[in-house]
Amino acid sequence: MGHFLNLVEKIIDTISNVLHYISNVVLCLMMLIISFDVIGRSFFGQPITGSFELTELSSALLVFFSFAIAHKYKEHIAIGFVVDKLPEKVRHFVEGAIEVLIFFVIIIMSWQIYNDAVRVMGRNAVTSDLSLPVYPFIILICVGSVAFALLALSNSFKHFARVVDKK
Amino acid sequence: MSPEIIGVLGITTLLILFLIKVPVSIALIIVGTAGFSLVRGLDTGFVQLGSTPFATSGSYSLSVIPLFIFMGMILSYSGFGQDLFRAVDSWLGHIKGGMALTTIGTSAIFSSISGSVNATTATMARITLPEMNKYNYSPALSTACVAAGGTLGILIPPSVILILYGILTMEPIGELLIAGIVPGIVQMFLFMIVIFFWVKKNPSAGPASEKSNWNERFKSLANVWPFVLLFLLTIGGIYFGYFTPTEAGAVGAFGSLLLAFLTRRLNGTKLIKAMSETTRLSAMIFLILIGADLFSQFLSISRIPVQITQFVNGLGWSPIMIMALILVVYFFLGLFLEGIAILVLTLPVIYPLVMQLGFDGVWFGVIMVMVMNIGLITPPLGISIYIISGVAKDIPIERIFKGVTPMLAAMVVAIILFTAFPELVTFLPNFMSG
Amino acid sequence: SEDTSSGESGESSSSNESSEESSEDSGETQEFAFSHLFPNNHVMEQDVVQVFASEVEEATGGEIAVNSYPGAQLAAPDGQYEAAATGVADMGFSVHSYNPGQFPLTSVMELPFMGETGTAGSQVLWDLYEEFPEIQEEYSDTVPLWLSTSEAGQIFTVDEQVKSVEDLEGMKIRSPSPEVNAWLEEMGATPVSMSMNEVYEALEKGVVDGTVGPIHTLLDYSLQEVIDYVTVGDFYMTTFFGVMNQQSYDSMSAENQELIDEIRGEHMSEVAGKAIDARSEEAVQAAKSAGAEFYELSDEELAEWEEKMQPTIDSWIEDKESSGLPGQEVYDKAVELSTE
Ligand code: NA
Ligand code: NA
Repeated sequence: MGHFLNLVEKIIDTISNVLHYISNVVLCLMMLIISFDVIGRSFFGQPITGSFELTELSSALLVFFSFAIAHKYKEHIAIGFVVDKLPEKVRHFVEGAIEVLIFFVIIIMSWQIYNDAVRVMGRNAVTSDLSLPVYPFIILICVGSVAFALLALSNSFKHFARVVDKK
Repeated sequence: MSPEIIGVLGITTLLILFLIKVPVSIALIIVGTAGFSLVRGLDTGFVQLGSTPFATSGSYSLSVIPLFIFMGMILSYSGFGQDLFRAVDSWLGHIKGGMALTTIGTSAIFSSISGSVNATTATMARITLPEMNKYNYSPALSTACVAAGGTLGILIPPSVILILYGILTMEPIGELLIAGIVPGIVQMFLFMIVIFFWVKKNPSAGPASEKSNWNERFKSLANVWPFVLLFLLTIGGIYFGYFTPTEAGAVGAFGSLLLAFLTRRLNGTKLIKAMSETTRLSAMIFLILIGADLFSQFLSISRIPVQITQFVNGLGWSPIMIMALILVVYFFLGLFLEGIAILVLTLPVIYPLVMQLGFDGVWFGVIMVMVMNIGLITPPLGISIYIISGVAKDIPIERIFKGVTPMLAAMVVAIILFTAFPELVTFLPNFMSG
Repeated sequence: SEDTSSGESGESSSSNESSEESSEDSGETQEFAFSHLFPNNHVMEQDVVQVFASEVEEATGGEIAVNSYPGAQLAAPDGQYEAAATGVADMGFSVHSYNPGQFPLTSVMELPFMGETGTAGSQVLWDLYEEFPEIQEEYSDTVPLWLSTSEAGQIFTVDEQVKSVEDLEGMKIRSPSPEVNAWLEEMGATPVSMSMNEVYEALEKGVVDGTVGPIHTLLDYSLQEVIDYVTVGDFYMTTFFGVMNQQSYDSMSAENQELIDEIRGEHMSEVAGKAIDARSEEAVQAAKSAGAEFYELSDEELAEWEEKMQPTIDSWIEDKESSGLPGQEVYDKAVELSTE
């Protein structure tokens, strides 16, 4: 059981890290697209077509691909002054339960984002200037969302392990 | 259950979830979705849950946030931020609280590049907090300065919120933006006065460093040029019409990156760290924004904001009493809602009332922004504080909320001042527009 | 329950009854949530949505009430059709161009020279809807309340006046759509995409030299403060849709459905067209009193513009035909109707 959980944890960590790297690359691309659009428009009369919508799509990808890693680094803000005062085992139990709650909320959200992608696909929605289909991007953010849910699940195991820990 | 009762239950549930350490964003998502479902059916709550994340995270006006954060991270990791503070320290460090004063001043300057509080706060937090920490500033003071300084972002032009106010009310946008200048500067000085008394009462909060000689001072200035250059590049770029304030984030980040590489201040490892921290912090902020959107859609369908504003509308009090009540209502809405949502939900009902009572529309826009700024740094939904907490992770969030209280006093004083003397807000735009 | 719940939710949500006991008896008020993206003080709220709400209330003797949720507070600007289709709201109202690709044939009205006024344009668009099943298909999962157009879009510039195609060369112009992008490029201008909220500052600071849009948008974004010149040539139209959730529609009694059928469609399209024309007139006055100079292109001058815009029209038709839609037929009919 312990081995299996370790393996699962490793897989989830790897996924989070890979998505995070992609997110970093997207951040740089976004910066370059806008910068070169500004330079092209101001000095050469030649903007980058679609820079507006590429910025929007990049922003969505960047954010969603970093949800999992942000959760791993405990970036998602929570107000802890009550729970943090509890005895250690109780605290781990509560925090484990919260992680399970996060898992369910984000899994349901991912499922609904997927449904949204299906609806958007059915409507043939495309971006304005480049006519890129929109639904593949929504599916991509759904992937980021699922990774976030899995990371919460893996976190919950860690907390529950501390609850039953003999020491 | 009526939608209004569901609304009140929702707010209560939200507070309970916050207290038991459910992340702020997740609590907002839960209550927003469940509440909407209770009013209009589970499948519609699910449609909102499925469509809002992409709509919010892919919004052009918000996409500026990661880029401004990136700019702050690069300036910080390359040591430019450190240089700036060393320089300031050599000039002002022998004054108690010198760096805190500088943080406020720098925020004011930075506000002329950035049109949003989020972007200003995130950038300034990354540049100034680590440095003040190094100089043994108390975390309460340093975070309070960043939170307060960040709110100048939408008072000093450009300002996303004042432009939106102008669009929603048809008040002249040009005059609105100019009207923000004087209150922005006065607010800045009030913050500085607070710091002055803070360190007077508690000298260890902002310790003075050794006095530097003139030679050291001018030497330190030599290291500040990249910072100055970047400010000139971005401010100049906006004011001479090369790019919009939204685009300034990208240009600023790109410029800092080039400078940092050219001056060999940044290597691959540091760059990766800067990127990684930027994306993580952005993810945190956006998850809260997604939750805030879901929550505000729910409040909107519960009709609570409309009920409150209609209630105020029907009281029949004297104009100044009604204005005081309106500002109190905005204060309470600010505790729970994000600025743009408040504007959209309430202005339609409140603005005509304000006009009918004979107040100046430009003045009201500025005052409203000042009141909503309070909401950004107060619990339970204090987005500025959450952003700061994302950078200063070792400081408990309750301490940041507590530490910022004296700054709130300065904000209230400013609001009272500009309500008592509205001409202080309106003379500049009137003068400029002839 | 999945397919009925949006119908249920259409029923009175502010009084306390559960959904089972409501609906059938008359005397109960059925409340509908109307979601749209325009701000509360906008002509689209005041003179279209509110007019629709009061006409419906009056016709049904108060049995149907329409509550408006303006300012995109329930769904994003590009999510209004979906909100109505899925039952997030009972009705939705927005601009077609926020959903590129979704209304391929409706977009014929966005092509150049389709007319001058919103009233005429709306009549043409509604007639096209009635005539072409392929256009009806674009709204197949909702009940259309109206389809309307803005008055024609013009070119607004700061500092430099545009009288000829040559004048546009080298100018940076904010463009509302890929079609306008295409002909601006054809003329040697630099099309710029940006959010409408940014246009004011962009024009003021000179990030762009001008913008293309219907005249009423000047007032929407206070642009009359910053522009100096208007070049009138009727270059395109913005189009609007108002739609209702199918289950919400079905949840009404047969009599009420008939009463609402009288109001929706051609009548409401005309109301929407007239409202935007009135707003446009107001914008012209505001722009003139702010010192803007209007220049109307003559027929001879327009010939040159038409030549540059023809490729845009051709590629629109070709694009529709290649995906099996009657692009040519719809375009020809639209031209015929608008020159009548
Ligand atoms: Na600003
Ligand atoms: Na707050």
